[in-house]
Amino acid sequence: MNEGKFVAGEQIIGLVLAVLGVAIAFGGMTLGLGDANLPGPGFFPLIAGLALTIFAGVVLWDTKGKDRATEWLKEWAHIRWKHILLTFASLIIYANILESVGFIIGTVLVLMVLFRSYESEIWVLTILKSALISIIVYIVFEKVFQLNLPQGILGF
Amino acid sequence: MADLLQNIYFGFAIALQPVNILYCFLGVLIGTLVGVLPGIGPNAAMAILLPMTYKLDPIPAIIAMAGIYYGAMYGGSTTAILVNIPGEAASVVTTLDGYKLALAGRAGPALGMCASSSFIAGTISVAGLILVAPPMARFALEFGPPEYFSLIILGMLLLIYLSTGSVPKALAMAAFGMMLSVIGTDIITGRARFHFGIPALMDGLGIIPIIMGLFGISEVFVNLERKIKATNPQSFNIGRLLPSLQDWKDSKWAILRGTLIGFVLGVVPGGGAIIASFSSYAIEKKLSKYPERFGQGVMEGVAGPEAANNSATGGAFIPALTLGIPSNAVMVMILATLMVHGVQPGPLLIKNHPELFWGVVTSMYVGNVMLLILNLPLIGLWLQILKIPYRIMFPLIILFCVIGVYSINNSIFEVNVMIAFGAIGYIFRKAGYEGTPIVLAFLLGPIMENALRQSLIMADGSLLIFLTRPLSALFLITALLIVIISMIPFVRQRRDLVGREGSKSA
Repeated sequence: MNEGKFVAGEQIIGLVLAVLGVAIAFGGMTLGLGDANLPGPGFFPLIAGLALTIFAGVVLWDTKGKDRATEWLKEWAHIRWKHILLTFASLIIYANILESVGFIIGTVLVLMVLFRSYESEIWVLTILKSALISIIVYIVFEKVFQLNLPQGILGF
Repeated sequence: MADLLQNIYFGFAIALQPVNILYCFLGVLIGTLVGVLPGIGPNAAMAILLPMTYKLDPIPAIIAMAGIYYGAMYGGSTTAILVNIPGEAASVVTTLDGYKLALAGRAGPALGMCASSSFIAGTISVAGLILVAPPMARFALEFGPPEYFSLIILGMLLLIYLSTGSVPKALAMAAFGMMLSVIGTDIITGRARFHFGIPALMDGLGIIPIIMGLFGISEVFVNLERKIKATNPQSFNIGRLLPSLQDWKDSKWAILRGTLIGFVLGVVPGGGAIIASFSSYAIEKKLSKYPERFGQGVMEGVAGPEAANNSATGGAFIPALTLGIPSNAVMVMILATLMVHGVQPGPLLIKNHPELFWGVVTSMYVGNVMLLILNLPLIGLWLQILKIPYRIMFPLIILFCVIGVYSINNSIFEVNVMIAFGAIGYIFRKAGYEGTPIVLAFLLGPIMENALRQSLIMADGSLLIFLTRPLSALFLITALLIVIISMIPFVRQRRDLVGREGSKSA
């Protein structure tokens, strides 16, 4: 259902994939193709890489002649892309501080960011919700399901 | 025959054990919940809940996962009828006539008919599964590497040509998935491939972080694009839930046809519940004496598709449990669950783990009974749950995903992989590239590679082996036929009319 709307996107991704395919194909050749009766570790990567490049090439070929940038920009105007970017960034940070600060603190922090970035609300509510959810989730997953959540320097 | 009855009895003895009943119940409950909530599809839900099954034994784990799958099919119809919002993609068709029936004051019978036709279809498809799977597994034991290779090629092609959206893009995604599967250590020679010096990559990318990223996290990103309006379910007087005798007369053939269509489409890779429900609707409309009434509130328009989407879930288990080949993303997750629990999918599964096969299959019947009883009284509850704002839901979804992935190997690296694939999945989707072929190819890639290399070793380097062995030749020729047929313009147009697998935004 995205056909035609994101031609520029199709082309960028198509290009990236085509280059990736070539890289993998080369990597495969470096690993060694082996013989016909004893294919080596590079054999399948070569095939996969070539397939990727060929199919990405077909996609790119199909996009020729279509109007690109204007439609694409129009779409992005309606999307809260800054919010998505912020969410993505906070997730990366969350994942990488988890083992230092521990699950509860890390989760409270990330939840506060996620709640506030969606819609603004009073701080007290944010802190309350984040703390409550983090603690409940901690109890359920650590104690009930017996999973091992990241422990920080403080031991939780 | 006596054997079959004995196995069924054996299966029920397992399915009816308290722990399995409990997990069946939890599975269908969560499945219905997920089906009701827009914003989470069965794919995402199963991905998120998979890690919670780690500490369980394999049987309750699979029973729960299966329950989520067909439970979601039941749940999706509730919101489709009451709120005109499909709870998940396979229920889109149910909104067409279901909501109109509700507006006409017939919400109760519509819901009742959904539950009943789903139950009938579910029961028949489980019966079908029981009858077809064991012989099929025995047959598959004859397969050697060349047959496997050709079969996988056939399966992937079917998947790609049956999915909507651009074919070259789907093929590119499959190639991308194969490429991802190559990272790690080569089984045959022990050489490390593409690990870029990162020790965590020596075992390859995990399938679970990829699935959760592509289906869980990226789904959240898609939903964050615009503020989701709160759903305000109009209160319909639900009243009696029993469809009238006339309703039954109108729908009986729709239910049977839907069951058959669903079952067949469930088995075929790339088929699945969504295509099944759309096809059933189209067929009922075509065969009806009053096609113009479809879309105005026709009971068959609800009964047929609901039967089809339920029956498809039963059918989908066949290739997964007998060949180890998944026909859609959900089956990839079921197979991943099996592997996490140390059970090897493939033709030997029924032979080596009969208690697993028969226990799971009979519990699907138990699950259908539970759903029939559960669904109707709990409708009030589901409506309340619909009111939970996405603002609260999406952080929870993300949280569950992170916990899920972390608890596999206590690895932050895998969490990062998941987040990365969340971004990749989102960006791909914006450009019209779908995620299902990626995970399918990722799962099948190693099997395919091994099959290819073993075949060449067997054949001393000759590619002819794929054609000289009759079964393998059959699969390849069928694959070729599919390629040719799909290029015929008439068929191309038909394809575009059918629904799309995977994402909820329909």
